[in-house]
Amino acid sequence: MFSQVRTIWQVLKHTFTKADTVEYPEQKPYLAPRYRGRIVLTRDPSGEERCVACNLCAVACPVDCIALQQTIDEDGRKRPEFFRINFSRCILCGFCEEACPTYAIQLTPDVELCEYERHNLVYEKEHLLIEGPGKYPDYNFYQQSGIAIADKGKGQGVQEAPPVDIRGLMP
Amino acid sequence: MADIDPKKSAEKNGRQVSENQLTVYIDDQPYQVDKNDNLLAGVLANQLNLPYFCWHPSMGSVGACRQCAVTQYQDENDSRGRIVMACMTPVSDGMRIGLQEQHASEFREQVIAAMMTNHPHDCPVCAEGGECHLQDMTVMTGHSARHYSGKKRTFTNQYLGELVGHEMNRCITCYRCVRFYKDYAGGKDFDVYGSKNQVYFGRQTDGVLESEFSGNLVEVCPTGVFTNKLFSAHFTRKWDLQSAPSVCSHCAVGCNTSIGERYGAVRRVVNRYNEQLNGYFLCDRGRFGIGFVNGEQRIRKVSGIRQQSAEKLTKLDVAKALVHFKGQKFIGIGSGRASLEANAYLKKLVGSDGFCAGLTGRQMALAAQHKLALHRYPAPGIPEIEQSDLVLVIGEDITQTSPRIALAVRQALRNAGLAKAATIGIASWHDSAVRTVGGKLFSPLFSLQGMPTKLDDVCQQKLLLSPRETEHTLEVLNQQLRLLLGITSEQGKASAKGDISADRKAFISELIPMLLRAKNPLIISGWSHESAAVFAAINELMEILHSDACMGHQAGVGQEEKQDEATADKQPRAKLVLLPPQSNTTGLLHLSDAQTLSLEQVLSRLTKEQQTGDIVDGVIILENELPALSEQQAALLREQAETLIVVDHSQTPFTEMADILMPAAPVSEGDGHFVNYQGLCQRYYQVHASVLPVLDSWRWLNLIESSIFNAGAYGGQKPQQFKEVHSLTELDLYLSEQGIEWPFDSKELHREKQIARQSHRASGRTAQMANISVHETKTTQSPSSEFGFSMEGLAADAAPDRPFSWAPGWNSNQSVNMLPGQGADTSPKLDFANPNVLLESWPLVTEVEDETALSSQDKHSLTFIDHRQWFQNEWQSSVNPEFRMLCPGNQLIVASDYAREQSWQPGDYVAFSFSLPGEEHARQGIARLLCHDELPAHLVAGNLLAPGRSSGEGVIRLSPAQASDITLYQQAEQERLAQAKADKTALLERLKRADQTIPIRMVAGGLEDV
Repeated sequence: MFSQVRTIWQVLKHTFTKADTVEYPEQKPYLAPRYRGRIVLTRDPSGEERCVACNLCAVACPVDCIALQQTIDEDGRKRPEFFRINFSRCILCGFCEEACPTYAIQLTPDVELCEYERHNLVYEKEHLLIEGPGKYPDYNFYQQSGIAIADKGKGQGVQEAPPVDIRGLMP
Repeated sequence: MADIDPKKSAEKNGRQVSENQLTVYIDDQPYQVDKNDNLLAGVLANQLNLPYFCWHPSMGSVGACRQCAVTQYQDENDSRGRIVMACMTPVSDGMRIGLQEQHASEFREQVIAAMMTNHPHDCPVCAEGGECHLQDMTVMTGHSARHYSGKKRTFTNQYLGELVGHEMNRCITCYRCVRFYKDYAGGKDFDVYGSKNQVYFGRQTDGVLESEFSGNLVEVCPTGVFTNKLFSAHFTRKWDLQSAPSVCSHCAVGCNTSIGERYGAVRRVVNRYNEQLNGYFLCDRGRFGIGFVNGEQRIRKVSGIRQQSAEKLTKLDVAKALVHFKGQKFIGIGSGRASLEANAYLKKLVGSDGFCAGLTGRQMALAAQHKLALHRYPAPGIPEIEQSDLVLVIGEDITQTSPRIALAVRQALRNAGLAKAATIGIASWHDSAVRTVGGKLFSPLFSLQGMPTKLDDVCQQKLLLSPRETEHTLEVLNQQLRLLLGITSEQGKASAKGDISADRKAFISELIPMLLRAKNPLIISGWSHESAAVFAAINELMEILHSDACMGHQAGVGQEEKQDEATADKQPRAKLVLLPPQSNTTGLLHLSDAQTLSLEQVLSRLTKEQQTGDIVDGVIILENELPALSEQQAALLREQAETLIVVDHSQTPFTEMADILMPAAPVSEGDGHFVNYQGLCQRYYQVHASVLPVLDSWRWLNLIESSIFNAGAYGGQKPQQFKEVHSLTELDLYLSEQGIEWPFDSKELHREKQIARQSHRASGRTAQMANISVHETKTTQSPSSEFGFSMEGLAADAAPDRPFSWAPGWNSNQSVNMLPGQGADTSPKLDFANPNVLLESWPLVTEVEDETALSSQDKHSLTFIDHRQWFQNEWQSSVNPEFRMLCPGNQLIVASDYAREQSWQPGDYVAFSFSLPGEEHARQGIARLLCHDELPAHLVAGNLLAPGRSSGEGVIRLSPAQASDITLYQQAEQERLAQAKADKTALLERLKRADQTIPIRMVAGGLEDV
């Protein structure tokens, strides 16, 4: 008997507490900047695409939803000829971001990926590429990697010695 | 680190105990190792992980990288041990070593750490990433964090041509590249420069690598210093490639390859290890020549067949187009680049009397001699060639026609040095020591050539002769041998007449004693000169060397007299290798019989059919561009054949004129067997399903049979049951039922699961076709095949079945060393029975010697010897834009004396006019002149012939060229190069576009298996 009264009291008490329900979509929940939502491709500080099409994201992807093809541009940079993510398969696990050696692929706190047609969830490079550097504003892969591109010769990167003069006589 | 499994080692103990094995205790577990090899090889052969860089199974050890350190203990009581380099340590029985001992393990990690101080962080853009030996070894040693904070060394790169890329920053100075290129392959334009931390591997100046084995640098380099430029241009990671075991289709050696495909386009070819044949190395034609399968010249549509439905071609369409030829008489022309099955099937369809092997009469006479040689003297494989202690090369520039054989010959020549090293107790794997001891000591190589070759630098004696003089020299050699050995000439063969020049006399007198003394003499020749007489003389020479008299002589020369004779020495020692031009020419030899037609006979039968009443209604040309036919002859063939059915994969003159054209699958898209120079039937597997209506030739022939040759309506033959075949196994079964002598035991292979063509890490499955349809297609089914188009499936257990090479922890091609070897070769070997039938139809006709007439007639008539480089002399690969860019244009090599006489300088342009035997019209043009000191004045070697064409000696006249003609020629050359460059770009663009539209096949099979 006492227990039933107590239960009714407990239930009625909730009438005066604040509701936990969030009025989505009018009211949006807070998602941290490092939340794992929609995937983007970022650019390096000089505004060039960061992605070098190394295929590591594709191989890390547990659902195999990333496909790309590498191409070498005239400036010597490698870029994806196409870069496709099938978000209808993506599980937003973030492995691709972890695998990416150039900070190109990043997950954003945008989770609103709903479409009536499934094929609208297939994102190509132009849909994925954003203008900025995302979470890592300073990193520039080609400054670190030692290979020569149009605007950076051998030995001009970070922590690179000038090219060895192989015809020099000094030891 | 070491994988210790007592069960496994115990099992090994039980199984592999043989004379050559010793027991070594590795981390207190007994293992069996080969006593003639070093410790590293022994450890790896037991599938234990031990990192290394500079050691290579074919190139031996130099101890340059210090990576394979292990701890060696004195005995079981020794707990400290000492660090030794496994690759430089010979094995001894009961030896105790530790792989896991801490000091050695730390040592290995520190060696990697030191290499990593200068190795750049460019793995993401490195084409080697994912199959990099350095990556594997770094992970294996456990080195994961960088402690060095200084600057990284950089190098400028060199341009090494269109095939091999160079990125020197990545170098870890293991010296493998220069050891391969210079020491192993005899290249001259690549070396190591600098000292200390500034060692540079490259050429003196930028430029195209001259060696025909430069592509092996890509596989030999443990990291990404050398990369395959063609692969990099349209790159994909190794883990994404769909691969299948294949056989190189560019020459008769039949090197085993693995072709990789991604998004419907073939990306690259890598070597597939076969210890009986090509081992670890391929030539550049095999590696880079595959581009033709993606080329613009490929035929992808049928013509002459009306397609009813808009979607696809059906069997009914084909039947409707063919049915009104039912019962007609056809002649079938086979080909040396079509599979054995396709050729045999064609022969079955048209009958023996209607089959032509696509060879001219001259070539048929050659084929007859060749078949006799194959019947009598089984050809050795490449490992056996490498054991020879005397090599005689006759009339074939093997460095350009079958480069892999030339590489093996180069190794054979080291045997003298190896033997010398062995006498002072240096093991053969001790590479630098052996080379130091050996110095310039080579086993004898004798060469009778028409032109200078790249083996000349290691030749003991060479003569530059025209084919006819070669034949004459051989005859004199045979005669002298017979005299020496007291063999009476059979059938009263005319003794070689005439005097020979002093240099030829010297050559012969030097050769004979060495030939008789040699334990494993090897004679090599080939089809380039198309001289049946030379082949006949070689056969005779082999007969003498295999005769009892010769063996008796050899036994007499040997020290031990009777015992030697009684035991092993009854085995004939001399070996013979004859190299046909195409990947399946040997298969054609097998199929040729007394009734097989030559091309001339085909033409005459077509033109004379009215008179003789021998009505021929049509011709079926199977994958053959018939380079031997002139334009007039081709036109005549077209005119006289009422119906011309052509099955081919690329455009030829005949695909243009065909009534019915059927697109065939090239080596990467089809299944079949190629027969190599030894008669080994080697299977190549489909790498990816072809896009319909491209089908295997034998599938088209099956459709042709069902419409034209079905129900025995033709030729009064016994009606035979027609069967529709769905796979190569079914076809082999069907053909063997037809009473065709067939080498395959046509058992269906029963595996519970197929072997996976893709690696277990293949990526992008749910996205690669999502732009076409978001609903993923099923993987292509391939019932009744050993291989599946999937990442699921078994890993292959035997080496020949491996679509790609991979072992746990070993992603690079070095994984080969971690996988069990293949043992005996499983490919069936053809026997060439009844060679005499072909000999009777094509007897050796002694050509009328009009040398005197010729020379007196005109002093300026010179003998033309064909001398094309590896990228020019094979038809399929010569369409590649990169190969066309390598072509230097017309070049003629003349004797320096002759040039001086004419006051021409090397590099001058001259006008030529030349004709081949049997040709009426002389070809004219401009060529650049090169001079050679040792060439006789009457010989001119040049590259004027079209790819695929072969010839005997031609007649050429040279004259000074007009300045205006030279300008025109130079313009044409520049245009040709520009065109090749443009084609290269266009091809790449097209391939990239095609990546977005991956073709879908549900079932890899016939026309209606969509």
